[in-house]
Amino acid sequence: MLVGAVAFVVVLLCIALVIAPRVLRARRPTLQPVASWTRAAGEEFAALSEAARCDLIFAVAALEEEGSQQLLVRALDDPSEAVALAAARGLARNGRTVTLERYLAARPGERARRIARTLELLDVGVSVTASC
Amino acid sequence: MRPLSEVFAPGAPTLPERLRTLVVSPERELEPGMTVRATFTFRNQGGAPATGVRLRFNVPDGLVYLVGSGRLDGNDLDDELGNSPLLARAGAHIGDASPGQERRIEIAYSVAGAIENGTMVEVQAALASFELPPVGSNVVRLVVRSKPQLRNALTRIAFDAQHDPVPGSQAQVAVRIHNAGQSSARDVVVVAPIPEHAVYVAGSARVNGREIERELGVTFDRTYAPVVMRSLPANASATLAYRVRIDAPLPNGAQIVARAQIASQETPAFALEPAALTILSAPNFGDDRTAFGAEPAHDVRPGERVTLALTAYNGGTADAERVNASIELPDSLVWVRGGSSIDGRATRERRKEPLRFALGRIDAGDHVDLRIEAVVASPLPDGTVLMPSATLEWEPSPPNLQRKLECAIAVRSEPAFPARRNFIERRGGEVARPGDSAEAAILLANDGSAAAHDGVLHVRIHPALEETAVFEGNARLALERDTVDLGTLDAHSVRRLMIRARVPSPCTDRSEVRIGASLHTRELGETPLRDAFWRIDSHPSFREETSRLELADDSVLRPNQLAAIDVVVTNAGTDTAHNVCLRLYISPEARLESVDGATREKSSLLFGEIAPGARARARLGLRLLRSLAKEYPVTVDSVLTADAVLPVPLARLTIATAAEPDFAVGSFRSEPAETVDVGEGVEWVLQLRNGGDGVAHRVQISVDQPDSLIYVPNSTTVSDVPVRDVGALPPFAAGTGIVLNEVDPGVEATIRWRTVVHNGLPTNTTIVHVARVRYDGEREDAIVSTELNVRASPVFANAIPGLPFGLDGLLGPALSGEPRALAGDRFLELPPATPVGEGNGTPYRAQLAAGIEPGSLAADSAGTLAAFNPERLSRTLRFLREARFGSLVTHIFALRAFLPDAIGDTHCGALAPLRESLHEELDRLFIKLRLPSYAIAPRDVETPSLRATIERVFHEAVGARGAPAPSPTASVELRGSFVPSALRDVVDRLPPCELAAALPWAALARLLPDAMPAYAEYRARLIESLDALADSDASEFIEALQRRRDASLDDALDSMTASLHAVA
Repeated sequence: MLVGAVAFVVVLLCIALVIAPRVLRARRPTLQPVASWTRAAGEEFAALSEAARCDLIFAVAALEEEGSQQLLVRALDDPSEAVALAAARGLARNGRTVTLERYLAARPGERARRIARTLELLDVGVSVTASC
Repeated sequence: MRPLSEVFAPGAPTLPERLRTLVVSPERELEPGMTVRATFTFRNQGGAPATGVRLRFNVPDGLVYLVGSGRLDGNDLDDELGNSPLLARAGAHIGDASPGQERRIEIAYSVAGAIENGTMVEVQAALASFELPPVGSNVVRLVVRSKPQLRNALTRIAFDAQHDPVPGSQAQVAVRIHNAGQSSARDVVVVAPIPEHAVYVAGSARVNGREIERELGVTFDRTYAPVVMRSLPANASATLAYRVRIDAPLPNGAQIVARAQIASQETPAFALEPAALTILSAPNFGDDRTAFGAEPAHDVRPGERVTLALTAYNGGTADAERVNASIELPDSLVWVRGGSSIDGRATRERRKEPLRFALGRIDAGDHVDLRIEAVVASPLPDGTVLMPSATLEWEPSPPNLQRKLECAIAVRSEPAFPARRNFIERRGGEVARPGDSAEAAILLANDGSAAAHDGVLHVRIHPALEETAVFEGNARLALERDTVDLGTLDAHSVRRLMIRARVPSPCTDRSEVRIGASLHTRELGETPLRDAFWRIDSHPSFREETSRLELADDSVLRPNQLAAIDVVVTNAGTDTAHNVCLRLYISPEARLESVDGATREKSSLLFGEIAPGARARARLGLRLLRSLAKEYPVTVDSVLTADAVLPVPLARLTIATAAEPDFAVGSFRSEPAETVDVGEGVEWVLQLRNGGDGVAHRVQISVDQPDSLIYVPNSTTVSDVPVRDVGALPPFAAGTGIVLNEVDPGVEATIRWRTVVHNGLPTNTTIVHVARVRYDGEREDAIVSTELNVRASPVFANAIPGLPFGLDGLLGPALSGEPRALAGDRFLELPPATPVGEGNGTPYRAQLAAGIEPGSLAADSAGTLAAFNPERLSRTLRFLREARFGSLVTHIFALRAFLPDAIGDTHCGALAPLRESLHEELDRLFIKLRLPSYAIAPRDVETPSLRATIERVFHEAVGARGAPAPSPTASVELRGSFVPSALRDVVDRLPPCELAAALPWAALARLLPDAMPAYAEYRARLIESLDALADSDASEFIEALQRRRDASLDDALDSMTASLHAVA
């Protein structure tokens, strides 16, 4: 009788361990672009075009201070995938691969997958794994 | 039975007629005033005396006892007071009457003067005694005959005015009716018509003060012959009075006649003597209804229109003829032409005496309104009272009678500084730069009508403004504590002031400076004059002249030495520069070692904020990593950036390097070192070391071969690498000797060879080798070996153990050491060079030129090599697949992908920076081209640093020779070749070529691989396409990159990538 109860509990735990990650993965937010990151750079950048935002990201990526890197992280949420890609490239080239991988893993989806694949093509020196 | 005292009581019936002995005269009719005599006789018909006889007469109404007329038997009965006992209540005691005694009593009455006609008078006497009850006599009845008399002197009519008999006033008509007759007049009728020119005043009719209209039922004036009294007693009067209102107007002297007729039932109508009232009347303009006034009359401001109104009211009772009005205006009151009207109608304008107006006739009670318009002149002192007057003349009037009227107009006058004309106005543009002069004009215009006193101009000056001054014309006004005393500002005067100030420098950008002003006067207090403002356009600025990089001293930079570079960054602008950053582009041969005075971030120097005019200094320590030829000085390019500042490229700092190779120090020794036996082998070791600090590009080592030594063929090694002999000569003794290329500083090369001492040498022979080292074609150093003494010993035997025969001339045992056998290969491959320094990241290879032949390359060509491992090749092919943008720009990415890793047989140090730069720039373009409809910009294609790197690559490429050595790690090698001289033709055109033009890419295309037909096809087509654009300007090239599609070129790239796929 006791053995049966223990076996039942073990089976339940196994089921929970299998189902829980799927549920958690399903609840993870997908990469939802927002356009508010430019406010951190300044009000005058709020209305930049996509190309101008790209240029801004390339310029910021050349700076190594923490504030600039945070801006790059926020720019990953840019509605433009090209801008987000530029930010991802900047992070990767600055050695922020852990941050980048964690970010992409937290927002799985096709967009994150494309960014990771393109970074690999550009040979930024690191391999970013996107858990998509 | 009634007692005697009660028989004649009022209202009591008469006594029964028992004695008919009363005789009255007259017997029938009476008239007023007549005397009535009554005689009563009685007899005691009885037998007994009648005692206590009393006799009493009545006194009828209308009759009056005539005193003294009462007699008894002829004797007076009246007492001394004239009272008759006959009329007393108890009667006259006439004593006893004996039987048969007759007694006679007489009494006389007088008929009253006024007694109504027809009045019945009854006379009776009554007799009583103690024994007999009262006995009445016969009753004599008399009728009175009388009549009224209305027509008498007292009956008349009066017509009197209450005051003056002027038109419009009231007058009273009084008709007095007096009845001078003996009886009442009944139904007295008065005919009193309302006189002409008069109107009955309703309800005013009274008869003896009693209102009669209510009895009449109609108004009095509508009744022709009203009965004013039902009865007018005799000797009575009645007055009928009523009031009338005299018509107005009436001419002076007019008479109003009142007439009346009177009648009654007893009296026929008769007319009274008329009464007349003479009217007094005249025109009159003297009362308050004739007025002269102004509207408005108070607080009238100069310039304001005033209406002068003259009301000529004829308050008199006669019409006025030819009324004239003359208006007199003071000087400060200006008549408005055409603004006059009489009774609302415009007047005719008169040339002469325009202010004299003929008002014409004005009836009594009527009026004429004369209005004229006038304007109060300006200026006028405040509180001025203007007194216009009007003179009124009319007829009829006594001579010189006129009326003059005045009115007062109180003027309220004050200065005025309207905002439209009083302001401060900025002169010049809105934008001011620090140091500029800010000028603002102040206009003060007293548009008011009075002077403004104690004017003080308050100036609010932005604290930052400097050198503030106020001018009026050319005169500078005293500005004390931001106030300027202006004194009195006259009316209608204009004053222009000018405020000058200087915008401070530095000054914050986008800030505002203002100059405000307000005028304070005694009358108006504070009058704001608005503000003038300037928006400061201030920016930090950096100029190449004031911000620079300079060497701290004039010493040249030597490899591995620190060069002190002073960085001076001067903010020549007018605003604080934020995030000042100096990006350094240092030649790869140098490394930034230290930074003092700034924060280093990679290759950037962060200065933070620099105030305007401030200067930031930093000292850089720059270390030259490896040697450079003299013609390649270290360059430090820098771009100064800051927030809101255009990047300022500073002048390039060129640091002359003095790297020179030096082979003066070396060792040249032998083994054995000092002595050697003849025939003995000697190993010579020549150790060379580039003790200088520059690269020796070509080092020729030659050693003369003395006759005393016999070279051991194929024994020469350089750093243990066998070197081919030249014929029978050792390589260092033939031709150019041993040639070393690209010998970096500190690099040692050890040359060994073996010789055998000629066994024929005499002992004590000294052998000295001299190695001559020539490098870079200029210098030559000689290294002398240590002296080696030859030792020889005599030998007599010719047999050696183990040798089956004797041998003359034998020297002894065999030579120690075996010469290194030559390899079967014809060529010797030098091992990869060992890096001798750190930091430059570029592997160094010291390659031997000797023995290296160009192979399949033409003599005038140089080879290129792009080495791919499987991973890189796969990634490159996927990258090219992703980079197919459908236009010429695709092939720019192909250039990036197939850029060679090596050019020629020497190290090309500029390739790695070029690859890095292309990687950086083209990756950005690759990302941007993913934007929809992105338009390529020139900066996306080429930057100044990229151009510099490209030029350096070509500078090295045109001097390249030979082909690169195979890569030990590559699985796929893409080789190509080019003619340096042909490339030079292209490269020479680069410096004047503008950025983002096609020429650099056309030149790079010549470095692509062409070893395979597919590669050659693609390279040829790409060169053709780019050469076609070489003479185009940047915009055309950008347009071609963006738009032009070359299908054959794309196909060629496809073929090349397909070939690579096959290889992979």
